[in-house]
Order: sequence, then C-alpha cells, then structure tokens
Amino acid sequence: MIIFQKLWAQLIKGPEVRFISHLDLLRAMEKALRRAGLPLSFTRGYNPRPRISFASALPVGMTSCGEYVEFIPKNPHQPEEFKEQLNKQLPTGLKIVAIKEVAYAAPALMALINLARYKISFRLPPEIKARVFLATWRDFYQQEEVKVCRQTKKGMRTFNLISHVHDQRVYLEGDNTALAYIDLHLGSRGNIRPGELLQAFWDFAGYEGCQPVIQRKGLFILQDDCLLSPLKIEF
Amino acid sequence: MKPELEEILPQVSKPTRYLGMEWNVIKKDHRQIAVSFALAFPDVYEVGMSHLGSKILYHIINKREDAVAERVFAPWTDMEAKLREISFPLFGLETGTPLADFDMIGFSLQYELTYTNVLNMLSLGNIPPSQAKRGPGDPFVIAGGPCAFNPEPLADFLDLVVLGEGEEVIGELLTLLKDWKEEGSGNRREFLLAAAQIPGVYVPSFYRIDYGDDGLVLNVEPLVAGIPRRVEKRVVADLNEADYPTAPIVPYMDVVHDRAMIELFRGCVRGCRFCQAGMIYRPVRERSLEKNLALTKELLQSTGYPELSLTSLSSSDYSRIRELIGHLKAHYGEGGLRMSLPSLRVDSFSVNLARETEGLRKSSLTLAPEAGSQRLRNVINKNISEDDIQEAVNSAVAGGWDAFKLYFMIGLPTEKDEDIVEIARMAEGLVKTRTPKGNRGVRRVTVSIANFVPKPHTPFQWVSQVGAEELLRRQELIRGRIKDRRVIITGHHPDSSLLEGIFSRGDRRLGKLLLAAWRLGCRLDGWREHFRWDKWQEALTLTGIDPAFYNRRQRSPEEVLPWDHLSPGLDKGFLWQEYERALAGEITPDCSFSSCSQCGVCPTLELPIRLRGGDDNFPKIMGPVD
Ligand code: SF4
Repeated sequence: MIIFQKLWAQLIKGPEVRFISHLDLLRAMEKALRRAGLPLSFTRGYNPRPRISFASALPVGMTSCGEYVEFIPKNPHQPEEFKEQLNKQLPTGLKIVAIKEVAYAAPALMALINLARYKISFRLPPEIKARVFLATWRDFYQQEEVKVCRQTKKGMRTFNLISHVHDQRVYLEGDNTALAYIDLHLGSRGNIRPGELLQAFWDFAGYEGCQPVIQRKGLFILQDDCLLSPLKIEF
Repeated sequence: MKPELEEILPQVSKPTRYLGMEWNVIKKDHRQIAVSFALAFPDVYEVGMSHLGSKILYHIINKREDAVAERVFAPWTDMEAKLREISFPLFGLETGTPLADFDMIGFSLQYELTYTNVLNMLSLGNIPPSQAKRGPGDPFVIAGGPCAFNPEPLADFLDLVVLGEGEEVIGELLTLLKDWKEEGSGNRREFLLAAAQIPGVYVPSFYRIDYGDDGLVLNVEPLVAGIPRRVEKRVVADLNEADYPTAPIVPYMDVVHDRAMIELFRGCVRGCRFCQAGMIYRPVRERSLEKNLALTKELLQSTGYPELSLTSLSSSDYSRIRELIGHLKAHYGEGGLRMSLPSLRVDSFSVNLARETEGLRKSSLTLAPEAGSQRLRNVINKNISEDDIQEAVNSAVAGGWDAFKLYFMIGLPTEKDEDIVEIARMAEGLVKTRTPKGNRGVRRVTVSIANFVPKPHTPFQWVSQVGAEELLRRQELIRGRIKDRRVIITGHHPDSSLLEGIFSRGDRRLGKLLLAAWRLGCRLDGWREHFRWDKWQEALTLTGIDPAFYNRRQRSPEEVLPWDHLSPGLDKGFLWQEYERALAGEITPDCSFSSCSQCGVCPTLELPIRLRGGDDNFPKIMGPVD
C-alpha cells in the first residue's frame, strides 16, 4: 500500500482575487499545482478528482488572511519546498504563508475547524449618532433569537442567527466608520454569513449603512473556550 | 482597481468577467508605449475568452515593445446599467484604461447577432459610433473575423476592415499607426489612405456604392486613386513560421472552452457548400507534427491546463492525427491529460480517434450529418453516407458512449418534406443501435435542428432563405415523426435566424437599421433572453427597410453582390458552378485528397497547390498508433 503525505497550508486571498468564487479558486489552485510540477494524487472511482480541499468556502467578495487547504500530493515533498514552488505559480493575490505536514490519519480539516473570525467595516449614515448606534448594536446582540428564513436544498428553513454568534465586538473609528469583529460558529448546524447578520442588524435598526468591506481574519478550532490555530495543533 | 469598480462589482452577476488579473495577463504602462490596441470582442467574457484568434493577436501585439493590447468584452446588462448609472466608461481589462484612450479598437466579428454589441460598446466607451463623426482625438475602429468578409452593414461605423488572417497585417497596421502618430498631423484621412495600401485592408468610406431603382447594387466605385477595386484577403503561407500564443491567459471562471488549444491546421477543403468557414479560410495549411508537439509542451507548462483541445475545422483530417495522439498519450497520459477533438467528421475513423483520446464518456458524442437524406447531403456536398453515420455510432456505442447529439439543418436549398422526414427516420434508427453482443445500447439521441442561413462567399450566396412559418412547420414535421421517447428534438427560433439572414447578406443601407434597433434597446441579440424581435420589427418599420429584400430573395447570377469587391480568393465562377452542381445533386470531392477543384484560392494567393493524396505523410496515417 502506498502511504500518501498530507499537507495543511494557510492561504491568503487578497483583494485582487476577492471576487473569485470558491469553485474557481479550487480550479486555479489545481492549475498552479500542475504548472509547479507538484501533481496531486487522485480520488478513486468513476470520476477521479485531485485530492485538494478547503476547510471552508469563502463567500465571494471577501478577502481572507487565513484560509486552510489540505493537499495530498502524488509524491512526498519537503513542505517548505512545496510551499516555495507553489507560490511561484500562484496568481497575484494568492499566497501560501505557512505549511505543515500532518499524519495521514489526521482528521479532515473541514471537520476540525469550527469557528471563523470576520472583520467588518462600514460607514454609518451621517444622521446616526455614535451613541445611538452602539446602543442599538448592543440591544441587537442581546436578543435570544433573530430568525431568518432561507431556501435550502431541503426546502425553506428557519435559522436563529444569534445562536451562531460566538462573540462580537464593535468599535467606532473616526467620523462614523464602524469596525466590527465577529466570531461565528461553523459546522453541522449550517453556516451563516456575516453579510446576512449585518443585514438583520440594519433591519433591526431601521436604517442602513454603506456597503461593508468584509475580511475573514482566520479560521480556528474552538476547544474548551480556547481558539487554536489549525497549524498549531500536533497530529 | 478603481474605487468605482470596487463599489459596483459586488452588485453585478459574475464579477470575475471584469477583473483582468488572470494568470498570464500582460499589463503595460501606457505612458511608455507608442501605440495601444483594444482587442474588442462583442460578446461576453466567457465567449470571447474561448476565441483562439483573439489569443493570437493578444500575444503578437504584446510581444512588441512599442505596443500594448488589452481586452474588452461586452458587459452583461446588469453591468451595463451600473456603468451608465455612474457614467463610468468601458475600459480595457488589464489596466482599466478607458476605451476612448486607446489608439485603435479592433472588433472580432464572429456572428451577425453581435453587431448591436459593437455599437453598444462604442457608446459605453464614449466613442462616436459613426466613423464620419470621429475626430483627431478618437481611436480608429477596425474589425476582422469571418463576418468581415461582408462588413457592409457596419460600414458606417468602421474606419477600416481587415480581410483574412490577422497575424501579419496587425503588425503592419501598428507600425503605420505609430509613424502617423509620431508625425503628429492628426489627419485621420491620411492614415486611412496609407492603410488602404496594405494588402488585405479595406476602408469602406473610400468606396461609393451606386444603387439602381430596384434597390440592387449597380456598381462599387473606389473614390480615391490608387485604392484597389477588389481587396484580397491575407493568409499566413506557412503555419510553422506563424507566431502562436504558448502562454495564453488562463481565466478563473468557467469559460466556454476552458482548455489549452492547439491549432492543427487552418482551412478545410471538404467543400461543404453551406459552410462559410470552409470557403473563406482556404486553402488547407497544416502545422507540422513536431511543431504541434513543441507548442503543446510550452502551452501545458505555462497554463497548467489538464485538458488539451486539438482544434481545426475538421480535426480528424489532420494528416498525422494518429501519430499526434499517440505521442501526446505517451508523454502526458501519465499526468492525467485529457484530450478533446472538436468538429469530428462523421465516420468510424474519427470516432475511433475520439475513443482513444477521451478517457471518460461523461458527455455525449456530437456528430453533424447536417441533412437527413442522401440526396440532400449531396446537394450540400456533405460527403458522408448513411453507412458512415451508422458505423460511427456503432463504434461509439462499442466505445462506451450512450448519448449522442446530432446536428442537422433545415431550410436548405431544394429541401422537400421527403428529405426532412429522413432526419426523424435516421434518429429513430440510430437510437436502436446495440453492440453485437447486445449488452450496450443508446440512452439518448438529441437532435439539434438549426435553421440554414445563406452566407456570402458560398455557393448558396444567391438563394432565398426559407421563411419563419415554413421553418416552424418543418420543425414540427420532424417532431411529429418521432415515436421513440429517447429521441429529443431541439429547434432554434426562426426569428433570430432570419435576422441573421438580413445582416449576413446585407449592404450599407442596413447601418441605419442597426442604429435604430440599438437605440430601441437591442443588444446581446445572440442571447435568447435578450433577443427582442418586437423591437427589431419596430426598427424595420422606422427605417422603412424591407427585410425580405435581404433574406427572402433569390439573386440572379448577374447581380452585383454587396461583397463582390471583397475577396477571400475564390472565383465567383467557381461558386456559381458549385451552386449548379448542388442543384444537380453532384458532389465535388475534397481537393486535398483528390484533384484541385479550381476554386481559385491557391493561384490568387500565389500559394503552391498541395494535394495530400500524393504526400508522403499519407501512408503513415494508415499505420497503427505506437
Ligand atoms: S485552388 Fe484547388 S487546391 Fe487550392 S484550395 Fe482551391 S480547390 Fe483546393
């Protein structure tokens, strides 16, 4: 039996590529790997797929400084070399910043990662006072329930947005620019998007700010109330 | 990226279309460059990015240190609305340079139903659509591509037109443009006069068209001394010497043809009488096996594509196709390279090639018998028999395909109901195909029925198009004959085919129709969801143009056709003779395998006549694959 190598890497998705969809990003990575001469191993079966997977799909329009990718290369590589060679072939805006080899038996990244941190900045309407905004923000997050309906594959489903929020914090910067940090749970209960959370807030507040700039600051493993970076855990 | 774009892109569909930062993109500082060229494709990104000709020109222009080429595509309606809302001019994708700041804008004319997009893109770029209204600061607007062989409907809007292959002409034009700019007179006419001296360049405004009382063209008269009466197309004599884009842009989004492309040869001399490409791209010129292999290597290395398309007008006709596939499999099979062979000939030889190349049988196999009856196939010179078709399908079923797509046309010259019902009979017969052991059969046959549109420079350039009601009746006739549930018929709307028919054989007087339709909101006419026949009819009424004069009229052999002064090298006599042979049901064999059928191209273009029947490559293709 061939023992494959498993590599985990941390990837930056910069503003240049923020409009690239998840599927397009995956295909771009596959091509970059082919150019770099770093062939992946393939899944078996009727429709073989290269073995590359992302921990979590990043919504279109967002940048990120911490996406995680798992590679199963066809041949083993020295991880740092793999990173260097791949970076040379990645388009502007994409960059591997850290890489690590883990045991082949390590669980799937997708199953481990359960929290995403977002940084959201937006401008408030000029007529809204800072104090009023901060109070509304607090009231919004003190609710037990914020329900939204969403069309899913299984039909219409109702979500409680608040139950997906792990933590949040908001600051005001200069004249009416708000900066929010929001930690959202990821995983089995279905993911919510920071955009829809913000929209629910506008609906609650009764006014609407400017189009937000959203950045994913990172993906984490939440364990016993501690946030762990996926590459810091030993497997 | 400009902040305005950052703002609107999240609000439009498929923002990836407008980014311009794909792998292998070339960005240059316009301030350091003598001449700038916008490669304008009058359709959306996904379509334009699949076009090989544009990739070739992008590569050739950007190779020059004194020139820059950027891409611009037709924006989708939501993007157009946003651009107009914030008055943001249409721009070159690479650097965001406004269209009006380029020295030259070159449109690729692939299809008549993109003409309103040309006007729309000029308008979005703040460039006067009418060439007569352009001044010293405006770019030159030029065009090329298959429709440039009758660019007359666009004559009012184009400064010049390039006939034939652009590889060499583009360089000559850019050098001229650079000199003209340096000289600094700003006199547009001076530039156009000099450009008209370049072989293959046609300046519509230098010709006067005289019409008779009956509306027919009487005469086409050059208005300036030294301007050719008849403009001959340009060809690249030796493809091995031609520049080829080995580091093309790799799009992020899933474009129509998202794969590496190798052009095996140019031209096709099978001589199908309806096919404009087969007529205007003569003669056949092959790229050598060695060259194709060398280009493939560079191409795969620079793009990382897992798929390679072996393109041409009829890929199984490449004289060394089996050797090529053998080599490619030996070199790249291990790395999981997939190969595809578009435009397959309908015979078992071709299907066997497809069996060797396409590892997976996920998609259906496409074959184009074009007509249902042998009589009609003889008329259009599609030299395949019913046995060829059945054998092709047998071979495909044995190779694992269980779904087929069959392309047919209706509305062909001399077509009778007897011919049409044969389409249904053939489909019903083919769907019953089973392997000799009987263990495999056909799951589905999709019959795609296109409406025939007569094209300039073909033997059918004189015939009347069949009307909308009759086309629908013929479609229904086929539908009514299909009993087997596994056969699916898909038809095309006659209204867009008839509109295509107006412009394909149109003249300059149609410029006002285009303008009127565009003003009424027509654009993206090739996209069914945007096609507005009601608006086109309104535009016809407004301009008083009788569509039947263009699409529903049989021309006489003496008539001066609006494109007679534009030459792809063919003798008009050859085309007429082919038309007469069509009516008599006589076939004309492929000139590259039997004898020269004297179409006129080789002598006119001063190219040697090369017949492959006597070529020493020929026996090799009969041998086994290594
Ligand atoms: S001149 Fe003869 S050999 Fe040349 S393309 Fe025409 S038919 Fe073929």
